[in-house]
Amino acid sequence: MSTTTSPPDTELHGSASGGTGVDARLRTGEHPLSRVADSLSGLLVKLVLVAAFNALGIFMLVRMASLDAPWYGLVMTLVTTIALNVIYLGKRNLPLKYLIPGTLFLLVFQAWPFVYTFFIAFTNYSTGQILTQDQAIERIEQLSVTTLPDAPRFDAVPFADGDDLALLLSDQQGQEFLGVPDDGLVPLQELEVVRDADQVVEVEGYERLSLGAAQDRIDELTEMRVPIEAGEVQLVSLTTATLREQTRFYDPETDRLIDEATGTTYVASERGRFVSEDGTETLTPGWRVVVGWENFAEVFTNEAIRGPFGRVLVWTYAFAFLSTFLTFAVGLGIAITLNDARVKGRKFYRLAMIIPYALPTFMTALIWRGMMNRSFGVLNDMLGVAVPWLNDPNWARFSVVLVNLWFGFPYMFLICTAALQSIPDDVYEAASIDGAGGWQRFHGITLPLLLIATAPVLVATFAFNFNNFNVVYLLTGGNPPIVGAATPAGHTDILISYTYRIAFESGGGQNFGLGATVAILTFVLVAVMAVLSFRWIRPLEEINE
Amino acid sequence: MRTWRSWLAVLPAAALVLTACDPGDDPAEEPVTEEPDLDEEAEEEPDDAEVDEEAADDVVRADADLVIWADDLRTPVLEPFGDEFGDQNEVNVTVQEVPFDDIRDRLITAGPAGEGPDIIIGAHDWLGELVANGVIATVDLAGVEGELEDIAVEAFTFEGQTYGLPYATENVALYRNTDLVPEVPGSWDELEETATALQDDDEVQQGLVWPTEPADPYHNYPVVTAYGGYVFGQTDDGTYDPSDLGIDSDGAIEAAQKFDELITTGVLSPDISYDLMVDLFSGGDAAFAVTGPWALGDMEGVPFEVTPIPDIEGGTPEPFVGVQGFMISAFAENELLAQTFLTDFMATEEAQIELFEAGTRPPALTAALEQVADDPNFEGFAEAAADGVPMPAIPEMASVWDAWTNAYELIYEGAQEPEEAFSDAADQIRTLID
Amino acid sequence: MSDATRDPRPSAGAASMSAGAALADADTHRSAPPRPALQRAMRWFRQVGWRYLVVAVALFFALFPAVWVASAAFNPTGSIAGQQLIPDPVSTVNFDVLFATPFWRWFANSMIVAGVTAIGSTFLCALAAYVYSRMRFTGRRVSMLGLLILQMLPQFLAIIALYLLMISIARYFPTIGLNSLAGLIAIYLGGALGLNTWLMKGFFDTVPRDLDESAKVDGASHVQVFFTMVLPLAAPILAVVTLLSFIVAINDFIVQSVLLTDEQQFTLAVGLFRFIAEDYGARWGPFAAGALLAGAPIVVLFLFLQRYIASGLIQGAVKG
Repeated sequence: MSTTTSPPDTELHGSASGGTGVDARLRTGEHPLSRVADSLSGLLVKLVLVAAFNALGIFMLVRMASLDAPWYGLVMTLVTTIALNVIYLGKRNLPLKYLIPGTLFLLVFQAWPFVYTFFIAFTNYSTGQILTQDQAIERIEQLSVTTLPDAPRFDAVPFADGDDLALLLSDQQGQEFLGVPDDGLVPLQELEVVRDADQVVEVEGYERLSLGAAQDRIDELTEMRVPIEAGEVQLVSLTTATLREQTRFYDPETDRLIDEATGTTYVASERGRFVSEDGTETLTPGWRVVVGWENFAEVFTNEAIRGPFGRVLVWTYAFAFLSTFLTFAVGLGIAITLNDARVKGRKFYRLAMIIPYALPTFMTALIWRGMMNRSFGVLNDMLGVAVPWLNDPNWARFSVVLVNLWFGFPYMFLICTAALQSIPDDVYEAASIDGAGGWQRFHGITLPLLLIATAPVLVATFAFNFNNFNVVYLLTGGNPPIVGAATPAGHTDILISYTYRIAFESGGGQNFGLGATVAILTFVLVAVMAVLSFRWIRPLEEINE
Repeated sequence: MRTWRSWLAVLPAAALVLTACDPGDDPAEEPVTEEPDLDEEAEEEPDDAEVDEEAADDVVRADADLVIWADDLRTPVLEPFGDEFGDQNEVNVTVQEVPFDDIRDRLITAGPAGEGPDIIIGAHDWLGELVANGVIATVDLAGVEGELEDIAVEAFTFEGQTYGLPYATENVALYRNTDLVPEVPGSWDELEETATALQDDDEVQQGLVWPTEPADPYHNYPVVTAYGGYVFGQTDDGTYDPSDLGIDSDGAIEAAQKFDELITTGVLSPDISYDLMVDLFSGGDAAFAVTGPWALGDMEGVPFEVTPIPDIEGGTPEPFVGVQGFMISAFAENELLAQTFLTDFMATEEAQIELFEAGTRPPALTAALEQVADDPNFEGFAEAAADGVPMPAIPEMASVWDAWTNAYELIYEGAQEPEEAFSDAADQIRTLID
Repeated sequence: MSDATRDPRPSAGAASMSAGAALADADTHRSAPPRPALQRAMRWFRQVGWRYLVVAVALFFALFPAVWVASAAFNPTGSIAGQQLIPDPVSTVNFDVLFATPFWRWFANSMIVAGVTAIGSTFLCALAAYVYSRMRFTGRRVSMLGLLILQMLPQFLAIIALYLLMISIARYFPTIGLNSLAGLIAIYLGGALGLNTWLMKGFFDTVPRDLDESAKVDGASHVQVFFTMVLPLAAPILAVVTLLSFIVAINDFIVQSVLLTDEQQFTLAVGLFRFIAEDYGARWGPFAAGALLAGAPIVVLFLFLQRYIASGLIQGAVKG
């Protein structure tokens, strides 16, 4: 190998020992003149950028403060702005200067959602437990408001006298009253009424509210109660009123809910529900509370989840491995095939290879589904066979891998094509002088070099396919079903689609806490594998040196 | 049930529902009502100067006094009503278009976060989940109850309270190509014979098309009920009882055997997707199809008539009846206004007829239903609905679909004996519910 | 920067001769004696001809389903099932239906999002890759591994948190919050560092450091080295990363469908999905037409970038 092509990265395996040596080298290597140039043009640009950042930071702070943003938001913005100044105006931290822009976006839009998902896994967030406690209390109180049976109904029109509100009510018999919050109903005949073309416009100083004006006082109107013997009349819409009664009330002092109709007292439980004192009755809705490791325990102990877990896990690994291996093999194969100037029309072929990648996945997945229909699909039609592509367990597995290969190989093709360009010609020249044949060249030079360049891609692709919900769900939905499974599960279900079924179809609703837990656990599985495989990649990189 | 659609909607939907856990405990995080000048912020993303600033103000909730979420079919109908209502009451009314299948999950998300609408349209079988989550308010129907179809009001009644104003009903019935089969089959056996004969004579590709790929318990339900099977038992007042699961009842198992027979004899093909069914029937390649009124528009192309599915071995098929209606968000900014709009504007003949014309589903208002009853197709659906049962709205229903679908798939593939498939499914569902 | 680092040879095309071609040349020189025609054909097949066979199979595999999309786009019956390969009659009625929607608005939105994302994330990525390739510092390896692993969380579950984040951002800064294209771009830029950083770093590693050392001796600062030397030499990987980011931003559906709520702000993915979700049977044809048009910018971009992706620029530099 010629010395010029040897990779420069001699410290890949020893980051700790690397320290800031290169940084120092870079600085000592700077020519005095360059510093002058740098300080003139570079400094100017730098100052302008930092000034712009600061302006933005100050603007954000002012704006957030004016809108009563929570204190932690303000503190974070402030700290970020100051940190940016320190990093970019200081002489140190050269790597950070390059890393900060991308990292800022990363922290806000990737790391934070990650942390939040982690948090959800420790809550009981699920159907019936999505509100905050305050919201839940309000709902319980509201839901206890009932229209009494046989309650009189009135047509209602809002009236006002300055701050005071009243309702013009007419009952089913056409009798008219003025309803005043303090006085109850007064028959209209007894009052001083001003009419304008049959319409009552004023009663005892109360004037008919224009609809717009009523709208402005909608909260007062909603709260308004007109006492009568049988109870309280209130508006149920802007044109009708009836007798309604609220039976459940929250007592903030004791943190209890009391049902005045039955006398039952409900206590807030640790599970985010109000439960009657004798424990027999639970009120709806509940609220979200932190439940610690419960969801994790659930994953490992619940029979419904554990049932077909083993075989699903095995298939998940098989699917991820096969998908990664095949997409790489096919992508690389085509890349190498086309990496020869003597092939005419390479531009067109390369273009054609990325077409599967250029069309929306959810559409092409459905196209495949249609093509693979046993009786009416074009595949069987053309081949004149009746292959149960999606109906037979083994065929369905084959089909999922095949379709995923179709989705995935263009990506690998692109990566490999680019990576092939980074293998210098003289490496091959040297090899061919040594008399290496085609296969030897591939096996001895191309593949190892490519593997080094693409190892992270392979690891990431494996991780991606491990969680490749879309393809499985759109193509087979996990089917065909496994006979006699403890919970619904299919032969092509991978871990994420299987647990999706459990988390979102069980227990009378959707269990997001459990879903997040499974996401975390699969993530841990994949991440551990990734870290392990990098131990394997590191020696590879050393070979490269 | 267009299952493919829920499949597609499932990814964003799941994600969306999850978003409902808003850290809204912080009282400081009230929604911003006024948006001052935004020019300065343009600095942050200079590249996207083209972004429409006006649109950027629109967070989730539109800026109006009354916000309605409706799908593409109903939005154009509701807009003029909204305008009229707005003019009368001096308020702004906005109708936002949201895909029907997304409305439920978006409400669960956006409502508690203070970004939701005041009114949504939706299906009654969402009630269980929406009520359990506490995201919808009761609707006072007392003034108009008598004018609505009973089954529609019943469907929107959950645990003794009314949660919606119904506007349409939907259920499956039998589509028949009148060119191929002029006479209504008197019994299921006759239907089978006709279908088989046409198929044998190569007049059609498939005599009877029925969505079987994926298997569809919703479309299959009339057969189950004809044999006396059921999904959940009902208490005297019509409430579904989740502890009484009927999927392994004798009637249901008989139905399972019937499906096995239908597949074996070739009366049903196990490979018919919803789209294939529509294609085959509307192309004249099938004589009978079983589906709901939503397909009416797509079936044009052949002359057809809709009638109830004929009695099977003496049993009357009882399809699931779904009811669509308006619901009021528990987080509505103006509940009175919403309630007014519903009872004064939507419980009218005019509105229900227009909604019917846009959505091709029989109206829920009796007076409106009578007006459209001349149309034989809707008469057919209405007749079938008269025998039907409301689709269970209890949240436990969520545990049923997948397991039951799987059981049918196994029967279609001959992978398991019908009775075993159904009793396994019942076991799975019980495991999931507990 | 001195011109010495550029390819000194007259034609970039010559430099782009691939490794295989170079090898073939070497072979030709050694196997001098003339052979019978058959043997020559055999040899041609062994070196080149088989490639056409592989290409034919690959083309069939890659294009077959895509042809069905195209066929559906021009098929006036607009149904997914029972569709013929060559529509009869061929019709553009689907496009007319499609253009009755705000299709071009969605198209423009997608172009803005994908364009800015592609350029922005390639740049952010290159900055980070440069540091990882050229500098040694505490936490280097850990942070690199962290970048890769952070992306392994199943996206459709993490998006919940993303949605909440965008809601709260929208309260203070509506321009970059929920339902804004800027917010969408910001999210995609959050994914700029990750696998692509590794890819790029690997490529930068193959750009010999002697080159930047000598440039530094000539008086270039690290910023100058980055912009005038490393970036141009890394054109193939920059092109790949740009293309990948562009495609992801155009075809990603989950994030967009959750974050964009206003029809005028829709991107192609969201707009088209809603369009078909509303009436599946009847709108399959127009949807296919939309998918074809959505794929077009990707194809154009690929055509434009292809010469960088498959070029041998770097080899020229090394030899120079």
